[in-house]
Amino acid sequence: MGGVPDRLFLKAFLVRAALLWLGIRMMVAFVGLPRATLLLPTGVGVSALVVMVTVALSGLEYRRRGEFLLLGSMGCSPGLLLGLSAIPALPLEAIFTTMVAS
Amino acid sequence: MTLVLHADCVGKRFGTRAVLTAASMWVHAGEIVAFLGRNGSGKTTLLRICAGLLRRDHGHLSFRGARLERPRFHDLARRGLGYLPSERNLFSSSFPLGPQFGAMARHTGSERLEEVIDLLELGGCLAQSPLTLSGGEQRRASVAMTFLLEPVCLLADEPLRGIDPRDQERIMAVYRGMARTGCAIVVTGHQAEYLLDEADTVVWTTAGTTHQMGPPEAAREHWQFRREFLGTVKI
Repeated sequence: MGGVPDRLFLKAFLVRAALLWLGIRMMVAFVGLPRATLLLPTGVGVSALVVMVTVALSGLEYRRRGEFLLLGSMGCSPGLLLGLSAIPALPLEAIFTTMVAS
Repeated sequence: MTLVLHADCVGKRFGTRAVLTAASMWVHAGEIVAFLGRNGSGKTTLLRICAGLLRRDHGHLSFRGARLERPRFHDLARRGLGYLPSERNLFSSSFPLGPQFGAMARHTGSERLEEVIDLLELGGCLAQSPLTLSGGEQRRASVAMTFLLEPVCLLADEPLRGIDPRDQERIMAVYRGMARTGCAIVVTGHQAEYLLDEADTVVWTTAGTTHQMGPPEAAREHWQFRREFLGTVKI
């Protein structure tokens, strides 16, 4: 026992992280709305920030839901779970940046 | 009997309030310990310290013969420590209970899924999301989740809180079964009479310390304990 949680929990965890990424990206666009040049801000700094905020919010969310005890019972460390929550954000951010740039 | 978990002279302070000053507790394989105390007496704090969820200020802990300096919850879980929190212990997503149980059994390699579903009469809830279950059903489902971990030692924080007597019996039947297979169990709660009937040993916590009361019969004989938990108060 230990390590990565079962695929069912993992899937839910990753979907939630992807939705959080989407929400953060929409919020960034909303913040940039009054300034048209910043509507879809991209760049390494912005991408890194978005990924970091996604990871932080995922961590807060699974704590808020009290799931860290269940996942911890399965031997999953908080560090691993935070790392997992970056997995959807990284490719999504890369795709998004590429699309905006083109 | 093999000593599984031992907390010795553990202290914990939250700000200026010393919740535990010198609390000790031990549990052997196959034993059920009833850990009783009033609200705010430090039961949950000691359990959380033993589970690696809180850091102690002083004192010693050992689990399965190894001394624990800075225990971490997931490390202890891998070594066989189970913890049932007083709140819901389910994945709070919309997918139903049945697949959640299946995922847990797959993860731990447990082959006792059907057994626990029967024992806790959860068959009718398997298609439901945890969010739609009643309090008692959520409690039984949380108990089932910790059962599927097949722990060597289980720390159950108020597993009987807010549920009806029949559900209490089901949960304690599961714990008796686990103890028969060698699991060391610590149960906290306020259902003193009921827990005294079920436990092998009683620990009473008050004023930041613990008192090893011995077997339930000895606890019943202790006048202070009796007054605190079993007596009647005339108003």
